[in-house]
Amino acid sequence: MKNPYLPIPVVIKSARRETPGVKTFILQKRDRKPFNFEPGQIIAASLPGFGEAFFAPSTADAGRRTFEISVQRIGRVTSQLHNLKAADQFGLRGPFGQGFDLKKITGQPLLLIAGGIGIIPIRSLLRHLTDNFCLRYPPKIQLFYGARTYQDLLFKKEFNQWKKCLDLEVTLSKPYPDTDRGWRSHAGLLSTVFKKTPPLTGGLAILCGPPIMFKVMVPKLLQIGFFESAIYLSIERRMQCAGLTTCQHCGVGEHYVCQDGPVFNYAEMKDQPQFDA
Amino acid sequence: MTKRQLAEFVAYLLKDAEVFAPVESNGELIVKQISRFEEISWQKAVPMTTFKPVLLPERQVLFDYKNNQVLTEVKPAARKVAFGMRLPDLKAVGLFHQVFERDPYYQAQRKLSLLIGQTEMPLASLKGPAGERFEEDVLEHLIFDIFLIRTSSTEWRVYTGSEKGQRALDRFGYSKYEHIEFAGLLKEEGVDPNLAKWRKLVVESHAKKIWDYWGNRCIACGKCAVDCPTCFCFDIEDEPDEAKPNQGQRVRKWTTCFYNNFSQIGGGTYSFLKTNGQRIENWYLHKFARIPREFQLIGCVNCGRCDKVCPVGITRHDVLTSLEHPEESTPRHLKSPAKKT
Repeated sequence: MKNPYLPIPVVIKSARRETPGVKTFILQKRDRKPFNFEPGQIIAASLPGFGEAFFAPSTADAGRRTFEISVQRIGRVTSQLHNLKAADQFGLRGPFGQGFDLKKITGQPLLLIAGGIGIIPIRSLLRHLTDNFCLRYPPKIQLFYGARTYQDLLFKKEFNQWKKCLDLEVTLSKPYPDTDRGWRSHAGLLSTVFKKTPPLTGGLAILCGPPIMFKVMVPKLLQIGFFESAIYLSIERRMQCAGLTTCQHCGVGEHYVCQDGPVFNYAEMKDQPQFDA
Repeated sequence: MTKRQLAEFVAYLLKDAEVFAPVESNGELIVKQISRFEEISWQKAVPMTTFKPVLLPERQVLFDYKNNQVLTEVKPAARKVAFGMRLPDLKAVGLFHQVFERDPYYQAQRKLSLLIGQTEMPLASLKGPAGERFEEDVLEHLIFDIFLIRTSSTEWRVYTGSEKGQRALDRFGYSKYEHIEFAGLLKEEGVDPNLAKWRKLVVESHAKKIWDYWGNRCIACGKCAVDCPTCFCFDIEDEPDEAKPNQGQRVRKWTTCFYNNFSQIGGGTYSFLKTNGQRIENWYLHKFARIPREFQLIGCVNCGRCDKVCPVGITRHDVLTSLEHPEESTPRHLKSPAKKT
């Protein structure tokens, strides 16, 4: 029987700092074979001696040998990950769960809403939909990305490239003077930006961010006419076994985030107990 | 099988296996490892602790590591016998087999374990409600290796439920057993009608006042989970070896959904189960909603241990009954009748 608890070895090809708290690692399996997963799925970084941390990768390029994870330094495992550098090795488990429903998404006008590090799986989805930011996605993508400060914005060096493929609206809780970067930022929370910039309607809305963001933004979306079934949320929960539905940490109502999520359709989940945080 | 033969059989098993059985200890009936047949208690009651550690140890090493690399996968090695399992305990094994189907550690331990059930029944009740024989009605839906039905103070009828059970008896030198063919966990009449009823009650009572009532009573001690034969939550932790630098073991340890860190993320910066009300609701969701959705089984085998160990007197009957009126801030059936003036 295959042992799902054993990590597969990966090598860090290179690493770069995104923000003071977030680092991106470009990884490759030690056997150099492609590591296939879908945008929005979860993987575990397994560091013997420290433990495991779970997150969604920031790329999803099927067939490619390298892939990226962007990791916020927040606990024991992620702090140790930040200490690693090129050529260091660690373990991975996964992928787990259901990512973004690409069949339903592709071809629809998309309103994407990302809060904080919620941009990480959204970037993975965007890379998939725009062929690594080379194509303008038909019919249209509008991305609202909110962060606390300018320093906290992930992937900002790519924004000018992103803008060729989609409409980007960045907002910062703490305003930052706009200089000539090729893109501008709003000041305030995501909910206030909605008033100034009309969001794209008539398609699907995909949200990834902290629980408070769902609480504020989902009612706004319903208000402007989104059907409940047109809203998708990528949610977070504690995980241990991952994908086996045994450890119980990620249970939400009748479901498990590691198996049935992390991306859920709002209409299907809204009445599930403890779906609200 | 006579008592003398049974004593010889247990002595035979003790030669190369750890044997766990109900034992009286400080006035309490608990499940414990034994070294002699005479230690076994024949009390009819369900022991306060479970046989769960036989198949799911409190601490299971997953692998050894050295210098951040997996060194060796550690599979269970101990032969174990669970002797004197009650019917609810065997029902719980049926559920565990579904839950841990893809778990190599559980499967390896199951291969090395012999599960022996024992019950005492007056002969008159050995027939099921439709007149069928007790053995066929009940035993064919349970997972066990050997089952003993006590027919008098010194006699047992012996049944086998697996080849492993047959082989163990054959090798010992006893052949007067009857084999019961496993017919699946579900009975012919199908899914338990309570399953749909309780699942609906638990799911639809979310965010209603009644959970605040139970949350205010529950002290989140976790005893109901520790002593439950179907509670199997665990944490995975890395334990460094004190003596050898850069070496250690990744272990899987029991936990309960009542503990504060159970739903924490981001190194403890956020918790999803914040109140005792949410925690006790989650306990019910697991047993009466998530397990039924996944396996068409109720996640409670009705052994009654949780009712008995709860230090504040919360029972499943009271909680499930109260969910019929979830908007009320006190369970209707527990309100004292209005006094006449």
